[in-house]
Amino acid sequence: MGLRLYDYVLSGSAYKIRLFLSLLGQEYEGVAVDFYPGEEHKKLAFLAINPAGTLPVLVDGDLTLCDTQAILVYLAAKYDTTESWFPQSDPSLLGRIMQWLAFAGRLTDTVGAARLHDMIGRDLNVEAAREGAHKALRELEAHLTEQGFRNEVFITGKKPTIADIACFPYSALSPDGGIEHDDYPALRKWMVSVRRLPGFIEMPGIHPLHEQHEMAAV
Amino acid sequence: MSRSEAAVNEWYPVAIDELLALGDVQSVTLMEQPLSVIRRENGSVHVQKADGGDCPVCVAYGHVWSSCGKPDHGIFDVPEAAEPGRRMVDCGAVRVKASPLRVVENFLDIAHFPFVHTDILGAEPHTEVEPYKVEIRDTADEVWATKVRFFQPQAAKSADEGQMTDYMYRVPAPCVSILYKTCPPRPGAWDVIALFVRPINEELCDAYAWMALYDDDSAQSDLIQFQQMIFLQDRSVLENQIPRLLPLDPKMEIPTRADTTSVAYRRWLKRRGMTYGAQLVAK
Amino acid sequence: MSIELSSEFVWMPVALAEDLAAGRVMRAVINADSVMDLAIWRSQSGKVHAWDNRCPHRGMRLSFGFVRGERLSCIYHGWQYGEGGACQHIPAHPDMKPPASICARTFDCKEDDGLIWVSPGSESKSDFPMHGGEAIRSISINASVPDIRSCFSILPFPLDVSDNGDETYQVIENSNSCIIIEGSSSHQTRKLIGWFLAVDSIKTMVHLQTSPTASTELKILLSRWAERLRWSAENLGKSAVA
Repeated sequence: MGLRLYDYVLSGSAYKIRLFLSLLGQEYEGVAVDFYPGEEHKKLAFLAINPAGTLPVLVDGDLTLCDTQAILVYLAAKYDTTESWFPQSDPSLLGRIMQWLAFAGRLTDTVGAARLHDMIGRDLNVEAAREGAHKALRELEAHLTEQGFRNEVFITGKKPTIADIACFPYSALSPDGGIEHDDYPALRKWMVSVRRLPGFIEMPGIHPLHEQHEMAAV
Repeated sequence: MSRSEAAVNEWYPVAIDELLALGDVQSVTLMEQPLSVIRRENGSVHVQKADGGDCPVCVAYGHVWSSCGKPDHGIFDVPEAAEPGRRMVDCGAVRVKASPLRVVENFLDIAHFPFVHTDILGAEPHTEVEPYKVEIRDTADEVWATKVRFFQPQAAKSADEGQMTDYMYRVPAPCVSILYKTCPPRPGAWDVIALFVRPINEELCDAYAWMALYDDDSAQSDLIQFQQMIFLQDRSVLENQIPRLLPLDPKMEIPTRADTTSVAYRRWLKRRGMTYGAQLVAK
Repeated sequence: MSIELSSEFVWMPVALAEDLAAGRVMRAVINADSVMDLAIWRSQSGKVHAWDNRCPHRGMRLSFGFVRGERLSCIYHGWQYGEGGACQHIPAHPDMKPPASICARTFDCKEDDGLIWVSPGSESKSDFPMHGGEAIRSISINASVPDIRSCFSILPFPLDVSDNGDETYQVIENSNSCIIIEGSSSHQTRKLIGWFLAVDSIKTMVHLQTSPTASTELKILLSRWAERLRWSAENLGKSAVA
């Protein structure tokens, strides 16, 4: 049995996994879970798979993983034949990747919350969510600015790692939650670099880079 | 007819029927008025204003409909809803920071498919919009666009390669648009995809998608998520149109022949005095 | 010499030139006489443009669009606009020549001294001094230009990776459009230049430059100095209690 991903099309976290699988060129079976409006993730059939009731969930044979960042780590360690997305031989790099994986959780908690409020009217403190989102994006912006001085395009170096994949979705989707990209020039440059990776896929809220369409056609 | 009357005395969706359980009370806002949508233990549905006053209620096409005023007409008829063999799908409400009229107008538009729904509903270089027919049907006072054809790279979940797809559009009420579309598994039949929009205020709305399809194979969650994907691709466009209100002054935005439906829709809104969510004079 | 930011001063700094690559488009909001929403884009050949951020067709923000060659396209229906803002191509009617009436509103835009400048008005344009700065970063600060100026002028910045301790600072220029501080030590002098763009009543974009040349390490320190500047300006008047 191959990889199975319990998925929701509008979830930025589920998109992280779809995106990474696409970048790896890895086939999988997607199972759409009706998160909204059906709230299927709160029902018994799904809770039997993931008692926490969260998406995404990855099943690979006997293994079930329910944490988005953990799924990235697992997929990179098992399926990345280039060993470039999660290189484990360099302790400094490993530490930095893990630091940004944890940071990605803050983006989910803030941008993700603002998005749920603005998109489907979820009742929560959206001002606090947006404030937290800007605080996190300012930290990422400062880091990416410094990376630019070092001529390093991605979060942990010249090559992309799962740190970039973990941070990209909710950075790119922040306008869905009323958090515009106008204040973040380094973030914008980095997002374009991620969008140009071979195998990149979009999700609603992230438009294709249409300038590339013509180049491909010519 | 005053600005408020025309808009106030319409039916708007306030809840999804199936998701309103016995004993539920859901809070919604309709045209700046807070309403409670209630399902009593006996199954009956009620909509109340903050002062306890009752609003009219109608349950149709998977949704609970209500009004802040007194509609002098019943809810529009969707005859396809009664056709046997169709599968009804409630896709949920998505909130959009835009005029409800902009949301309806976008739903009537095909020329954006290659750029906003790239490789799904349209793809370059197949961008041409052939002439089609638009009329205001006087007996029912509805906008209709027929003989609409457009190249679609992935005509449905079941379709593998591109083909010309036929569409019809119908606007039976200012905040409602119904799309009829070629149904790949059943040639000659039309799938029905509707958008029901509830104005929260003039620049903010909830858009409910509802479908009546001939499809016995797809999982319900796949059908819902396909529709949500399409609508969420539109959302970031809709939230970035300036102004947020729909301009009814023809000088404000420049249409071409591909926009014939939208031109008719704007004129029809103006004629009805439906100006809630509209900008009458350029600022 | 002083240049005041007002409708008479027509060139406004919207971005660092290096933050807008060829073939990209960005949004800039500037608070001139009214708040203006602009699409700033750079063609494939490198020319910068500033247009009203609104497609004449359906009002869509052009900053969401895409650049092909020397044209900017709207994301909504792919309408292509070229030199002077004139619509060149409407994909829905590929064989039709768009009428001249379909035209995006354009503003004078130029690239100078490492910055992209926009003239929001149509008055005659005064020239402005060049400082030959090297780009550090643009930073958005939720504070007014006067508040940022008052912090900028008193917050010592690093002249080198390890400072001597004998640095002195002199304000060369301090206006609502630009502030220049010169720092000197026994080893060297270095200028720090801040260009201000008022976005709205509470937000300002500061474009930071320094004298050439600065090492990678020094640029990092100056970028961190900008973070401190932001913290100071945003917390001005709040500090006593905290």
